[in-house]
Amino acid sequence: MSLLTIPVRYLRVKWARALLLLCVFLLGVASMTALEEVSRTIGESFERKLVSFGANILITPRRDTLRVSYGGYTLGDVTLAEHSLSLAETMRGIDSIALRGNLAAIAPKLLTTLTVGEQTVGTVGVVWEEELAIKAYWEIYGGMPGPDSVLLGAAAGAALGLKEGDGIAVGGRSLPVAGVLRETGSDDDNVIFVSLPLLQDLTGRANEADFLEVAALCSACPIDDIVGELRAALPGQEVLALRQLAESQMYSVHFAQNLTFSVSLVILITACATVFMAMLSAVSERRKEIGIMRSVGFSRRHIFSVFALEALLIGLTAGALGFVLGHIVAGYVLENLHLVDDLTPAPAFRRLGFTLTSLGVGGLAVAASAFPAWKASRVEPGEVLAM
Amino acid sequence: MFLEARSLVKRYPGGDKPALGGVSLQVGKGEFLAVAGQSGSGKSTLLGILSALALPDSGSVLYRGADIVPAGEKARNRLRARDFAFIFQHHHLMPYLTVLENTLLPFMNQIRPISGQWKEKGLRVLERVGLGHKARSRPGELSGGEQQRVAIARALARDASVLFADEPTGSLDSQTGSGVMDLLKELNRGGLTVIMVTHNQDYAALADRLISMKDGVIL
Ligand SMILES: Nc1ncnc2c1ncn2[C@@H]1O[C@H](COP(=O)(O)OP(=O)(O)OP(=O)(O)O)[C@@H](O)[C@H]1O
Ligand SMILES: [Mg+2]
Repeated sequence: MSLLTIPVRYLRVKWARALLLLCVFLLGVASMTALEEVSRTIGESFERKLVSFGANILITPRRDTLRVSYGGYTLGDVTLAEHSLSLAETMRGIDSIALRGNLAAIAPKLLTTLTVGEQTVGTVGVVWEEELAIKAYWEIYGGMPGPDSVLLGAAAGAALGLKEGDGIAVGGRSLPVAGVLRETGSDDDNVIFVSLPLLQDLTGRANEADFLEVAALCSACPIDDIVGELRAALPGQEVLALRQLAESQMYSVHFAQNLTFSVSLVILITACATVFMAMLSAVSERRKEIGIMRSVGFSRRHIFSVFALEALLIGLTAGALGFVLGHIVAGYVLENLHLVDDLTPAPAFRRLGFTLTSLGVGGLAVAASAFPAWKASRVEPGEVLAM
Repeated sequence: MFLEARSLVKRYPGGDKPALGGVSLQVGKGEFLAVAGQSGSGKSTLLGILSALALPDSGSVLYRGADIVPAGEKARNRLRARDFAFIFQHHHLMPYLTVLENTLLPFMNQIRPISGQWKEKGLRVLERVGLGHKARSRPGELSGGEQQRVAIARALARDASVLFADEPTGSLDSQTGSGVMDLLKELNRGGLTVIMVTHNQDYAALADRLISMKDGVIL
């Protein structure tokens, strides 16, 4: 027996009304939780997929150029000095930025031409892992390339007349062809790929790269921030955002998040309005009760507490149950839409989210009932005489 | 003087005459006072002001020598919680609380649960008013007389020193009404000050003193 007994007993007797209020909040919280978890999971998997369609930041050595024009006649740019890019130093710079966690892949490249037999082919030295991460669309006929094997672009392979398993004589060494790329419609078709250390070795350009492609995850931050940090960390290099790609990536992810946010807001406002109305009508129905409590010494604060506790009980219960229900629904939806896989696991149950949601919804319910509860606390004890 | 009213004036909004037109009254400790008068003569209004349920427009109410009118909300809450108890004509009980909870309602304004000691006392006073076996019932399951006894038990549980009763037998048949009156008389003999409004002359005769009201004044 305590102050809490009063709202508990009331809710138990008026169970249908309590259930209705509970359901309004519960469904609201459940759909919010489900929407949030689904959109976050989809966003993450989307992002991961988008990243694999290419890099969105380019890091190149600074070039000093001079535009040559005379009498309105432009001869084009003349490169005065081309600085090379020290890979170790650049990587150190990249690692030092605050948003390092948002960089999903960093793919350095060294370009050169090599003579294969009679022909000259463009050759790109890459770090396999990083390259494959940003080019998930690559389809390789053959096996995965290793430190001493070669991957051929579709056109280059055809021109050289080579296929998987053949040997290729490059720079005085004979290397096995690990595989041939299926046609991509990009520059990748016309070149051959070897591992970066190997090409550095062959060209005598140890620890150098011509440029780096970076794939940044941008749902959590604008690409401009990442580029800004990279520019500050890499004073000797040009950092260029491939803006359109980045923006379209961000757009799709942000769209889902904004949609979730708006829907949640509408749901919450509806729930709060329902509690507000239900409480307000309960207060006028319960004036006699309030008068009785006042007549035995309950203060205004006590009366306010009776109503606020009632809302708190509903809010806490709805928040807790709603979160659990939403989590279950999210798992079910993701499973059934085949949106979960090894890369994108179903969202885990977040205890912090559970606690915060319960408390938050409890607080919200109290806030929504604050005015009705205040009104209740204004009932004068003398009123009960006239009833 | 134990309880004293001085020139109480109360006017309700819209009323052409005042509900109380300067009422003065003295009640001694342990006295049983009956208040009679026609409907609308201001009896309930007087009781409400004496018991700190309502405030007068002017005048003062002295309880144990201190004026409770300017005492402030907090002091009047305390008086209602500890010293004064009220029985209404229409047994005002909380419908969804048990009889025992209704008896102990004045102590249920804390988050901290009330102690077993108080619960025992609640059961004891219910026993005293003959409702020991109904402690777990709801008011709706009780007869009118039983409901009035719960209201009396509520006054006893906290050792109120003044019991205000506004037509406590008004909604009861004569036999049940007599039972309630006997109980009130018995408690009064035990030292409880009782101020009771009644239309029933037999019940009024049980009081130490009878005052009559008309048009907001004591005759
Ligand atoms: N809340 C109120 N608002 C307006 N007028 C009121 C209110 N309460 C009482 N009155 C008026 O004040 C006067 C006195 O009312 P009161 O209830 O004190 O009379 P009473 O003697 O208790 O009558 P009854 O025997 O019918 O209970 C009446 O004219 C009544 O209409
Ligand atoms: Mg009356």
